[in-house]
This record gives sequence, C-alpha cells and structure tokens, in this order.
Amino acid sequence: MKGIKTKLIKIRFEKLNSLASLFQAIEKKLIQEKKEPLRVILIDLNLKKRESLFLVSFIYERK
Amino acid sequence: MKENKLKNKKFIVVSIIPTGIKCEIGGFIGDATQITNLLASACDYLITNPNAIHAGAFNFKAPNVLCIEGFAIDLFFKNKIGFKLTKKNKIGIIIEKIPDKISLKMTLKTIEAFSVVAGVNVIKIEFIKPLKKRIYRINKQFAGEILNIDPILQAGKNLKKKGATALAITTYIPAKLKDIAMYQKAKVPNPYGLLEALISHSLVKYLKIPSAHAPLLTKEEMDFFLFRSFSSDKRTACENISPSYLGSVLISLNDAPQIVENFEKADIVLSDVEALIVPENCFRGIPVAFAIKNQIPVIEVKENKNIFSSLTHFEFLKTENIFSVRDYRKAYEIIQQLKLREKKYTKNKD
Repeated sequence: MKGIKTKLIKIRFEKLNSLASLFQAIEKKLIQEKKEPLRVILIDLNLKKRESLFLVSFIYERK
Repeated sequence: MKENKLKNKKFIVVSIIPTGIKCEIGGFIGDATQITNLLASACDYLITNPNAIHAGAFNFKAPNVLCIEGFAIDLFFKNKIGFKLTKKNKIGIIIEKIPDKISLKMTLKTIEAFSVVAGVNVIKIEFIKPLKKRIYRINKQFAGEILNIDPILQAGKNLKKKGATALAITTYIPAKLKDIAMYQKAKVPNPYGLLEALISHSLVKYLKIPSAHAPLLTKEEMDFFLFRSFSSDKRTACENISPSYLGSVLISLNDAPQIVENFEKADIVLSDVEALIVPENCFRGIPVAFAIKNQIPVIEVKENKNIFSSLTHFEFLKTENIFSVRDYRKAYEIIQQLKLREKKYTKNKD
C-alpha cells in the first residue's frame, strides 16, 4: 500500500557544484530511504554551514 | 541535451507559477490567465502548469498555451521526457465517490456540459472509494498526506488500458472552511493546492499520462463559495461562480501534449525551450535548477511576490542567463528580444 507525505528534510553537503546537483542529492537521499520524490522545494540554502533545507513530498510504502 | 529533429523549430517558453505559495498573480484561481496569454502571444507555444490557468468551471487559456502537469514539467527539465502535440485527447475521469450526492451530481452534470458544449471527449469514468487524507501546515505552506493512493493508481491504470490518453481526477480536499475564508481574503496560501498537485504528480509518475486534479466540492463548500463569500478577494472570484472545478481541467486536458520517453517521437524537447519564467524568489524547484544547468535563460518576475524571500547565498546561482524584471510586461519584451535573436541566428545559419 502506497501513501503520500510531506516533510521538511535537511541535507548536508561537502561541495556544491550547482543547484541541479543539490536536487540530485536530495532525490538520491530520498530514494535510498525508499521514498519516491514527488515534489521537492528548496526552502533554505546555507553555504557557510554547508546545509540546505527542503520541503519534500514523497510516496512511501505503508505496511 | 537531446536535439529536436523537427525541421521547423518552434519557439517555446515555459512559465511556472508554483501552487500553494500565495503568489500575487496565480496564487488564487486562474488569476494568472491574462499574463499567461500575454506571454503566449510572443511564442509558438507557452508551457505552463495547471495552477496558472485553471479557474474552476472556467478556462480562458489561449490555444497555444499547453497546460502540463508539474511532475511532467520536472521530468522534462531533467531531459527524461519530451512532449508530443495532440489535437484531442480521450479523457478518462476518476471520481472519488464521497457520500455527498449533490457533489457527485454536479460533477456528472459538468462532464455532460463540457462534452456537449465544448466537445470534450470523455470515454470512461471510474469511481473510487473515499480516501483518507489530511492537510496540515509546514513552514507557512499547506502540506498534505494521503494514507493510501493505490485506488487512484489502479483507477488510472484501468482507464489507460481502456484507451484514455489523459486523466482527470476529482477528489474531496479536506480544507477547513476557516482556512478557505482566510485564503479568500489573501491572508494564507490556497489550502487545496499542494494535495491536489501530489495526486496528479502520482498519476504522471506511474502512468506517464497527462493528468490534472480538480477539488470535489461538498454541498457545504458550494454554499460557502457561491452564497457566503462575496467579500472575497477578486482574484478568487471564479470560486464564487463555480460549483464544480472539473470544467477547467477538462479544457486543459483536451489538447494536453502526450508524454513521450522516446525522443524520436517528441515534437517538443528541452533544447527547444528559449526561456523559463518564474515568480520572484522562486529559484527553488527542479525546472529552475536544470534550466540553469542547461543554459536556458531564467526570467524572474519581481511583481509576482509570494511567501518566499530571497534565498540566503543567492549569489551562488547568479549567471549571465538570469534576468530579473519588474513585471510580466517586461518579461514579454525579453521574450520578444530572444525571439528576434533566434530568428537572426537561424537566418545566418541558413
């Protein structure tokens, strides 16, 4: 059974090449956690702290 | 980027107005139609997301405006799909069978009206049982949860199997009337938007078919919209005259382009896009990120303010391909300049 949820998720990065690479990183993280991204919105980007905050909506498998 | 094999390259611009972020233009109901049609008048085709033009029972988009679901726009900017132009889709409709009989009758009457008058080709309707959903607030936005989307996906699959080439879906969105009242006074974002988007995103993700969602209004909501909210902001006025929102969706889906993964079959590919236009401070989604990556000019429109302020370390994004303009009229002028440049380039190439 598949469900949909929306959450704030923070990710840290070592080096940031482009905005696209940041989106690829958050999508990769979600997929690793078995969450299939539906909508990903960048809320905050802090280069000094090397972290970014996303509002993500994803599909997940419910047991 | 994949090159378009079409002999006659089209001049294509994408304008996105994200849903649920309280955009001054497009944050209500179809209130970005006029600026969308203005931008479209400078292009062969203008691609936009449903939020910009869907106005409840009404849809006044220009014929060269292609309404494409947000998840499909994301895939397109990632260069994973292209679009094939179509004149008339066979539309399958998914209706959540809520206990409110007036609501369902109004939906069925809307389908009859748009089939008979607008000539929309509805081939089949699938009913699904009521779904458990909820809306909550995160970071000034309305967010959403659905416990089980399997019935939606199954119904979509059935309709596709029966020949549907586009899917309309209408479900009840459990927004509180007090939130709707606040939204109608332009105090909070549209409470319906995000959950609606997630439903249509899911259909596109799994079935790769043009899809769009319309909220299914209960009798109580109809009473509220039609008879008890005349003091609302004028940008929500189409809600005051729409007992069903399915009409605008059917008009958009009627000629919504098909999603194709084989680029040989595509009429429109990413390399055709000459510019992407977004509201102020909206460098926050996949289309902008991949437009920058692919050196597609991005035009930010300052008059279209919303809940977002400037991104910290925004300077990181600055490239020569980013334009910041005062209003949509100026964005239109930039598109015209880009078009002239493109014509000169093509002429010199020939």
